[in-house]
Amino acid sequence: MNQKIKKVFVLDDDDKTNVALAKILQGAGYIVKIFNQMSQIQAALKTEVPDAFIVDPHSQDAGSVEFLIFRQNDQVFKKIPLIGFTEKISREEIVKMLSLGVHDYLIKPLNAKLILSILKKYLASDEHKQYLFKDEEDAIGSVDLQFTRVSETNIVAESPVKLTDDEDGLYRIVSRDLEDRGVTNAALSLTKNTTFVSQEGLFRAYFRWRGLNESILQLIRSGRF
Amino acid sequence: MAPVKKTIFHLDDDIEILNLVKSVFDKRLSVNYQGFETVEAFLHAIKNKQPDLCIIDLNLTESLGAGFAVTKAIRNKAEGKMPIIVMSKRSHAKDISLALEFGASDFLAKPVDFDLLIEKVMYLLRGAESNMFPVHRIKKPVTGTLEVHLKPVMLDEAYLYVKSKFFILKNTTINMQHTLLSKIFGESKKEFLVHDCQLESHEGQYILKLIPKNPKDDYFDKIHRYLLEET
Repeated sequence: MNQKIKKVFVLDDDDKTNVALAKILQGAGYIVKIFNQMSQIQAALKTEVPDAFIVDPHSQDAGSVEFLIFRQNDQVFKKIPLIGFTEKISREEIVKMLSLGVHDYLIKPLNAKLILSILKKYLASDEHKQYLFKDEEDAIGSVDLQFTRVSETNIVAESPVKLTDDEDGLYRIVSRDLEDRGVTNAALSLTKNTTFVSQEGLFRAYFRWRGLNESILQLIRSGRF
Repeated sequence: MAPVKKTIFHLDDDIEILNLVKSVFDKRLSVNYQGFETVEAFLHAIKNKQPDLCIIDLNLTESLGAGFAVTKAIRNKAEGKMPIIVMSKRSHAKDISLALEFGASDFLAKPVDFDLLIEKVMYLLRGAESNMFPVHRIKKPVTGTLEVHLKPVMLDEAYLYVKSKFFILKNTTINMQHTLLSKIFGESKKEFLVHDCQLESHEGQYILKLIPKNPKDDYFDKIHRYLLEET
């Protein structure tokens, strides 16, 4: 799963419009959450972050104006596109809505094509939002591997990583199974010829190991490792 | 008793290249070198005697990219024991990755740098003879975890991009640990899957595109919030 489904929060006390809006948006592949009260939407915003808001600024029962002010004062939510959706609107009201951070507005009754195209316009720019890390420290990634063959000098592992000769040639491998066999202080260094094993779909790495004690060597010699 | 000379088989449809490599090897290495112009002759020879190392050109008379199939075929036959150097004019990152995936041990771009070729040949031949003790199959499974360094590069709504020194196969699970994960997800360790691994040619490192393994419901909400906060 690597595609995010866009989520739209709707705040309106008009249930008929809400049902129609939900049907249209869900049909277009959006996740829609309907709220009748500002307190409900605020509670949801504690755990979820939508991609767009649709709010009727005239919906006094829903506390829409209070919500617009709340959103305007939040550093994260004010960056999320908000579309006003109202029955009638005067020039003064448009100015007021825009001053409260409304990106765009629509006049009721509901026009499916129009609302979807407006949403698409705002969410398309959001899809390319990316953050470039600046000089972050390296992360440690742990990848599973399996040891398959062993000799007194080498141990062969199969892993999904194609290892190459490192600066010091040493790799950090943690293995409970090796510890169980008494191998606790061995150092593993690559012998420089990692190859691809097509049948298993993995890379075979040849490690040289050092620091084995006599009892481990006996175990290897006897073929009981 | 004089040491046994190592055998090198070289497949290239360009006779001039074969002659050139032969003359360089004759002067600078003590090996049995045999050049082959066709896949048929090469496969016939390898059927009779397994060499210690193979050099294979990717674009052959039979077809462009035929060397990929030959590499795969002989890797299957020789398992992981025999080093294979793929040598080609095709030096695009995808070709290199594909050659490695098909079993090549190393890749060398044409025009050939003979010093480098000699170094690589000597290096791989040394590796092939490094294990003189009997090798035993491990019967009871022995697993482990390998730690690799990954540099976070970029985050978007779909992927976390990290740089790696190593090529890592698609769909590999990586358990990642970083303070960045705490900032975004509130947990310092998280499992990701490798969605894609591409060679970034100018630095010689790989760019991994990671997606979450078994993401929780709020995974994308947290990414979205982080992007809104930081952009």
